[in-house]
Amino acid sequence: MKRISQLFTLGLIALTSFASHAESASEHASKGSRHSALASAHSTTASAQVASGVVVVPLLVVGSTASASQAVGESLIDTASGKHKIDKHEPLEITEITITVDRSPAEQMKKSEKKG
Amino acid sequence: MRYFKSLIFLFILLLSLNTFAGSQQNSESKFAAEEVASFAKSVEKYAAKQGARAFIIARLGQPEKDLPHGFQFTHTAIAIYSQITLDNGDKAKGYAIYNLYQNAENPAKSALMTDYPVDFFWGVESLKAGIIIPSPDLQIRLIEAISSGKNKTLHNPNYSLIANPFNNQFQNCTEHTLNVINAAIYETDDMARIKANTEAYFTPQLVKVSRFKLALGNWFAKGVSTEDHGRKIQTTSFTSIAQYLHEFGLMEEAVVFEEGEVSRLF
Repeated sequence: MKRISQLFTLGLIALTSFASHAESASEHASKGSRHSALASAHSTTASAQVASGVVVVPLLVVGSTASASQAVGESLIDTASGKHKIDKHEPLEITEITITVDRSPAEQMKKSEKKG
Repeated sequence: MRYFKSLIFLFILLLSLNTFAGSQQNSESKFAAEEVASFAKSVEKYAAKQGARAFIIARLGQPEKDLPHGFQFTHTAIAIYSQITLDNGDKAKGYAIYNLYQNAENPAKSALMTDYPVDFFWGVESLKAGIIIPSPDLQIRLIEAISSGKNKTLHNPNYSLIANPFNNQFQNCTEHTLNVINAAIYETDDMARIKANTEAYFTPQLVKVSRFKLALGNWFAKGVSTEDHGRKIQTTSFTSIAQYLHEFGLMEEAVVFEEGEVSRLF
């Protein structure tokens, strides 16, 4: 009985030390809370904005615009040289808008109403 | 009586193990919203300044001192430079991040999710990012692999925190990232071929945690398994991916971005 108790204690110590190696889980919060927190933070800065990202299309060529129907392969190869068009480390444009997957509470309500 | 008390203590500990998890989409932030947003934007701008159309990104979800030897980050994903349509119809340029996240309700399962830098860094332990910029050719192949849906085809929802990259029994975020990288390199979504090449050319990170501890984790915690391992416990890490790409000349740079400063990963 004493030996079983000792084994259990060893198991507890081992489990506790192993658990610390994993990234902590987080609790579920409402989907609009991150968007709201960002919007509140950005409200003090005139030029900053928060928006929800809806559709994503990879961009291959600097300065290009992309459409969902554009074939990825079309922009890849320059037919004359056989090389891809991206040869130099040209800096890329990044929006100042903070984009999040979360929708604003108002947008989330519209989405929920459409489903209902 | 002592035996009964130990049983009760073990039972209470097991109940607390529902907080035991790997890569998850975080809902709570340790930092103020504007701090996370500012940091996320600075990471984007750094990668964009280097001209990265696709890069590997990593974050730290718990104190670095608590990680096993050889691990610097806790979650890894692929960032792709994109045109993003916003909810108001406007279009903006930035990075979209392709993740494998562990399910919060069922840690033994995962799902693929696309999010953005502020979402990626929400809930991190420290504002620190790992960035691997592949060679231009590999960047294009990565974009092609994501655009053609190979990341979805290669997804195995059976999750283990310490998944063995040499087989497809379980998968974690870093192994999935490696699978997509190899799918891009070999221009295939044939998992058998990807695993054969992984075993031939990739050196995983040894997990220096005793098998006894791991076995206990295996028995009591969902999302941790040793079933897919042989004698050694080895898994994919962000650093091991960087070393793999560096070894075969497929990497431009691998850095750590923290407090506005950039330092080499190795």
